[in-house]
Amino acid sequence: MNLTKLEALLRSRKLDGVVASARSMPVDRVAGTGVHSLDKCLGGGLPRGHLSEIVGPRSSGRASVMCSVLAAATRRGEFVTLIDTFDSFDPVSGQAAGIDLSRVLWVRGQHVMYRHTSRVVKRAIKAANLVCQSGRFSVVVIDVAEASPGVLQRFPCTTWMRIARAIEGSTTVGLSVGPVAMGRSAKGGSIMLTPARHASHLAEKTSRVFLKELTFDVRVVSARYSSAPFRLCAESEPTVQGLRTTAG
Amino acid sequence: MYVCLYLPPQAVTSPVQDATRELVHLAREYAPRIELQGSQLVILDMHGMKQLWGSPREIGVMLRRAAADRGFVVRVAVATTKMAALLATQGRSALTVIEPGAEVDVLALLPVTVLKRLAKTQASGTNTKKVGDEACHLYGPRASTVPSALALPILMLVPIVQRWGLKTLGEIVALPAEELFSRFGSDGVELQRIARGEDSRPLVPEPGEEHFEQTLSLEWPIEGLKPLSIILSRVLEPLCGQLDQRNVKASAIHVRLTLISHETYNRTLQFPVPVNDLQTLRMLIMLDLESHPPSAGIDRVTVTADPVPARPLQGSLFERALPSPEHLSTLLARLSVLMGDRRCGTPAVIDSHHPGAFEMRAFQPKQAMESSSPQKLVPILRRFRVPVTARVTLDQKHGRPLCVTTGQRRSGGGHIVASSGPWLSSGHWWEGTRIDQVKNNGPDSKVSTASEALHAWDREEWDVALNDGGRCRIFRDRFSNRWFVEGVLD
Repeated sequence: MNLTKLEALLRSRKLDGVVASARSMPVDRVAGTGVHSLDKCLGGGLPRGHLSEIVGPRSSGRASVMCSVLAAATRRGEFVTLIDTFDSFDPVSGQAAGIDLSRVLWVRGQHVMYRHTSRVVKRAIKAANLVCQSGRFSVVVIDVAEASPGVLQRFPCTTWMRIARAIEGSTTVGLSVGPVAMGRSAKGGSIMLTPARHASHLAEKTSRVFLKELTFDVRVVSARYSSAPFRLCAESEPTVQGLRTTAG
Repeated sequence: MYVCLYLPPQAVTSPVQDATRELVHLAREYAPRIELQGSQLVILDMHGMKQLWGSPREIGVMLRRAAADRGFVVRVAVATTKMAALLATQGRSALTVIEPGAEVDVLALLPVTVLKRLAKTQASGTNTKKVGDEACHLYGPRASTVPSALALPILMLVPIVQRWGLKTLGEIVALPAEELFSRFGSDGVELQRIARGEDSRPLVPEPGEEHFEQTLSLEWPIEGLKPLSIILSRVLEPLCGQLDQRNVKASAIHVRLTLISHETYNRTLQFPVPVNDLQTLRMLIMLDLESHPPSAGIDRVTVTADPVPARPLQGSLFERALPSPEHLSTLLARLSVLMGDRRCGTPAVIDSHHPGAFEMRAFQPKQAMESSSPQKLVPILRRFRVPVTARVTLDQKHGRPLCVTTGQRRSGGGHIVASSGPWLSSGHWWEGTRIDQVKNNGPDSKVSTASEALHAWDREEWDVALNDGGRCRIFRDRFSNRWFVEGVLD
């Protein structure tokens, strides 16, 4: 039995939720990330009704990609939720990324001592569950990027499966942001990010200009697909030092 | 039998709205069915109340006396038809009692101008729509929406009959109906009916003043919130039914719990959108009581709703559907219980140069058009709400930071391989409070932490790339000469 027949059989038995072969999905079943090259690798965007993830270390562009996804959704007129586990979202940066803040439900956690991290993450997951179950938002992002990998790995995989189950069949895109891979749906994608090492030479060249670029390598991994790494550059508007000297 | 109360304009000393409210309250004390015509005319349906209040004359006297007790001098007319009573109040002062069958004779003496006067009085209510809006809350949504008894075409006939030389209503009645019809059509016949004091339509009663309140006294006091949930269902079910029946929703709910300690525990819930759904209301009350539980067992539960008119909206075919208000209210309440008060909402950037300045607003989804402007990938700052204290080694020659050390894992640290700065930023220094504190206590004083610099700030910012690949924004607080990590570029 070849693969096509197997998929057809699964579809006939309504088990096609686990079929993850299609690289390009219908437009209404994906949510564009706002980054063309990333959308191309994801087959049009992040799949709706599935949990995807953004994985990477500090300064690897996780927040940039996350804000890009949120901005793309709000530009489409959709409502989004950001579960900000450690209360680190900067609305000014978010607005600069193009997010329509009035369409964002911002659920703020709090930063705590390391030993209490688990409690805060647990609370954020509960909040994400509530939002996902409501089915009222197109994109639900749970940002646990500042949690240590050890804390996240202590959570059983059923935690993420529960969230995936809550959005299954809906038009909601679930997106987790963390330092390590936590869990995604069968059809969800993992966006693996690593900071580009060579970018430091910018500093010598632009010592009087704000560090305006963040370069990182991206690799998209899904159930039966792994893209070749490609490079993305998050670039802010050029800022002149004099303009940043403010008074009030 | 109908009684008409008329409050002449010259007798009104208080604001019109107050006078109308008083008049309606007075009428409701004596009759369950009343009709408000304008702001100064009220008709009471007194059918079947003879045994309760006495003869028509006694009723009239009693009402005049009751009005006088409230500080009003009203004209009262008692008749078997509404129109006769209305016209009598316009043409006669004090109390007029028209015996059954004597309407035509009594009205015949009244001048034709009473028709104009009556129309003007009735119109005063429709002109003062604000009275109606106010009354909407008290007397229901149909206040002041009753059509005027005298239609405009009939009123336009009055000057014509005056030009014919007719001076009293009796003379209009005396005109041959056929001739009147041939000249004026059905309006002429209608004019004659009015002059005879006949009604063209029945009384349209004002909706009663309703209290949306339900109380349940318990035989045994209850402890804890789980049994209260069941009790609330029993209390809210008739309340929601009442709201639904009247096509109104609750903009706020007042929960009054009588405790076994004889104290009254009150909670008020204001909703962003009016709600009349039982499940939603119960959930919102329970979530609120979970956060603010009563101190003792509960003896009695009273729930009162503030009604507002329901506004059904038709969704657009071309715009994305908004989250339903009921579900959204419940979700926000649940999230608030989980994450804490004021931890859920919409971020808004405020007009300030203060680093990280923003405010939280209530999440109120509104329709918006899709944007087609190009989107860019930009670096995002993960901001530490409380900046992390750092030790920074400086290059003695150029004054550039060489190494950053912090005690926290999240902010990282290490040798700086690239840096950009300094970027000078200051503001609100004219307020002076913080500068004085620093000057008085020294640069290393406890007050000189960046988080406390809510108003005045003066800083020197650097963006640095660390040898471990991390990128941070650090700054030197120039008041205290201390270094902090503001956030991580991610």
